[in-house]
Amino acid sequence: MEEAIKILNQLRENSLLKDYAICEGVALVYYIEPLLTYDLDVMFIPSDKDKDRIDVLSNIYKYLTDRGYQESKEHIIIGDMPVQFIPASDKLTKEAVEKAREINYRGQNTKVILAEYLLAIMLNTLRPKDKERIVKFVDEYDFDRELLSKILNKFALNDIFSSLTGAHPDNNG
Amino acid sequence: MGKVREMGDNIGRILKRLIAGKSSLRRERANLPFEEKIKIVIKLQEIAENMRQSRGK
Repeated sequence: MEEAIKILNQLRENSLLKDYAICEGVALVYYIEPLLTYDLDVMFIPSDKDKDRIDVLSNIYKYLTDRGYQESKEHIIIGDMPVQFIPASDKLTKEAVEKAREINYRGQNTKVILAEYLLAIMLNTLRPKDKERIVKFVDEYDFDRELLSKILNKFALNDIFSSLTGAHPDNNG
Repeated sequence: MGKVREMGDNIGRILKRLIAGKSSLRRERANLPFEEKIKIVIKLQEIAENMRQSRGK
């Protein structure tokens, strides 16, 4: 994963993306016990010159393939890690990337989506695997309830949260 | 009747211990350094891949 993080930082330094943060499975692993996940999902805010393009990934992919990295379905393989780039396309995901937590991984700085935003994004996406992960996440992680409540209110996710967990963010646990 | 109840109580106690053990292990793993957790994820990927191959997929 080190090589992937190094490359992600390069993409930011070279203005191929404005900012990024690790999301989905690997981000979840940051907060709870390790689980099986096959790739490194990266949520990113496109650069100003790319933000209005339909193919928002093309410059990133060109930069990477020019350097010998191979595409594989929806991933690009960096080192030993399939990396999937997910554009932050709405207010919730943009805010999640902007407010992500700075961490250090093997001497390199990177960012991980905050737990409260990660949960909100899963509630918003709500694929079958998100539902499973939400239940596990809520059961195992001690959220900042004030922040969680604020985010769920702001993005109208309270009802989904309650229906899935049987709890209100203000009094879960 | 007494013996059945006693057996039920014993099983209940064992289950309680097992569940408590599992959740404390889960907490322990959740508190590992991120790097260590990623090593476990890679191990899990290897196990999943071996299983996939042994099923001939």
